[in-house]
Amino acid sequence: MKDKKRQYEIYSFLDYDGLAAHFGRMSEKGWLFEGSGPFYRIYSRVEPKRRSFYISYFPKASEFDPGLGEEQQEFADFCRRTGWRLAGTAAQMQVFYNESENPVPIETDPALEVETINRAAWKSYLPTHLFLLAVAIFELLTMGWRLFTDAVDFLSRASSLFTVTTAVILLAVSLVEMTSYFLWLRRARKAARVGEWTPSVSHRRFQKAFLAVLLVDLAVYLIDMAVSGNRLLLAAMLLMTSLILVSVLVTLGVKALMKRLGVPGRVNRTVTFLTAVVLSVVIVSFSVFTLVGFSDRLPWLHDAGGVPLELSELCGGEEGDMYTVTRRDGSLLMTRLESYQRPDRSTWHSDETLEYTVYASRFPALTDLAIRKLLEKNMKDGIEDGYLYIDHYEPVDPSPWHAHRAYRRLISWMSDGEEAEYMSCWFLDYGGMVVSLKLGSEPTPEQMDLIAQRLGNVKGD
Amino acid sequence: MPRARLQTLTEQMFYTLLCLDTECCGIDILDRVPEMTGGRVRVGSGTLYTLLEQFLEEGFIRETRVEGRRRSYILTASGREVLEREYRRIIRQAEDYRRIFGKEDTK
Repeated sequence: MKDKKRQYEIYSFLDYDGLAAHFGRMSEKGWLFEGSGPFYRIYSRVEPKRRSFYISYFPKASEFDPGLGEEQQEFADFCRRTGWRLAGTAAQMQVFYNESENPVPIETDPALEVETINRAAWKSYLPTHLFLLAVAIFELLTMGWRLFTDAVDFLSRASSLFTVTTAVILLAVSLVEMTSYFLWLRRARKAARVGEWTPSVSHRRFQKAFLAVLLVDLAVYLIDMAVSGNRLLLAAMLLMTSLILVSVLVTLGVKALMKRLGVPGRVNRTVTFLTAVVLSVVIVSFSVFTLVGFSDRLPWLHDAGGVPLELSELCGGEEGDMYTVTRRDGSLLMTRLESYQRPDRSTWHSDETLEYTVYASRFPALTDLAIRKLLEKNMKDGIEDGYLYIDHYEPVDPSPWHAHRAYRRLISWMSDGEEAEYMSCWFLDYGGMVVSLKLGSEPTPEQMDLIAQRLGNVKGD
Repeated sequence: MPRARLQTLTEQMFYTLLCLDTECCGIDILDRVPEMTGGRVRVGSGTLYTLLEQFLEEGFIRETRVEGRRRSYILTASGREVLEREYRRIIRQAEDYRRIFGKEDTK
């Protein structure tokens, strides 16, 4: 029979009444709170009994302290005199229990208790939520900027939606926690002035809901990547997640080891902080120098198998070795398939090239937005050295492409634009799909038909 | 508007300071206050700990002895003055009451 039990529990900092009641129920079942691990609470087996619990805060305590300091022990001595025994601590929180009926509470002055709680809150609870709030706002601003500057890229990346939803969840969690804390503080101070107590605040439902949403968000992200065909990015992401998890465990391990060795709290805090910084730098460097390259290059090393259109098909069956790169990405809102194909000139003497990106979405408004943004992004007209420089996509007849709309790139260096020249680059709108196409030469009607069938999903005759 | 810190004393503050008229170990105040008030006033252990910290900070009491984790304190002149002020305030309140309701109404 196990004498220790570890449990993951969600209780907010301010839910001290709820937590005390929970410890009471656990005690009746024969489990006494003993302490906290990084993500769990530890209980030890005791005689099942009704015990009163009191959550008290000791602002001078730190989660890095190797044990109870002199002052905290003195506090515990005071409590023992009135029958309260210290069950365990977790950072500034102290859990006391009393086996007598109707004991004198540990705190008998509401004003003093409110200020003690406030000092403890500023030690780690509020700074943590302020940090989360800052991270969430920074992420949302960054994502907002990306949406503003490159909406198509933003919408067709699985990571964009994940980052935004995660940031929104973080923002909501930190706002709910901090707002309710400051509202409670105002109410509690007002009540304390007339000697009244203010009940603690529980967010358990919110916290559970946020956690569930976060897990769903993560699952959607993974499914998104798997479904959109970007298995290599999925693997890279899983590797990154594992690295982060390992670094968190190493940091927590360093902290726990130093506590066990009796290293003073300040030293422990500094070493743990430095460990976290060093590991973060290592992970970020690793991701920048390897994973970014991995995600940018490796998916491009796929062969053309599985792409909707191959260069050899476009060349009427002419075969030879090809240099082919392909990349897939996508979110629930939009998927993107990029392919670049050219002959390996050592075995296939042809100037033909085929380069295309197919954006697909179930939402017509998004493909509409995609083509608008692609046109905007590629509008590079301007005046340089007194010459009008024309470089943009112009509407052309979509019927040869069997498309709803077609745009072709027009370039000119001449002042009147008379010598403007069409390039072999098009944006083709096929309703739910937008194709950005670049060819090595002017396409034949048969090639246009083939492109429409393969890339625009247009049914052949 | 929040009450200025320690300008007026709560009953718990008053009796804690009163106990420290003679040198006393912090922990013993937990027993002495109920004895002194016939059980009417009780000071919670956490509250007493915070009060002693605040009184030390304000110079109302000073530490006299440390035996292990047991620290003893005694009232300072400044603490005595605060107690005196509080006593006069209570007396004035009592006098005001008597003026309105007369002596015979007091129990």
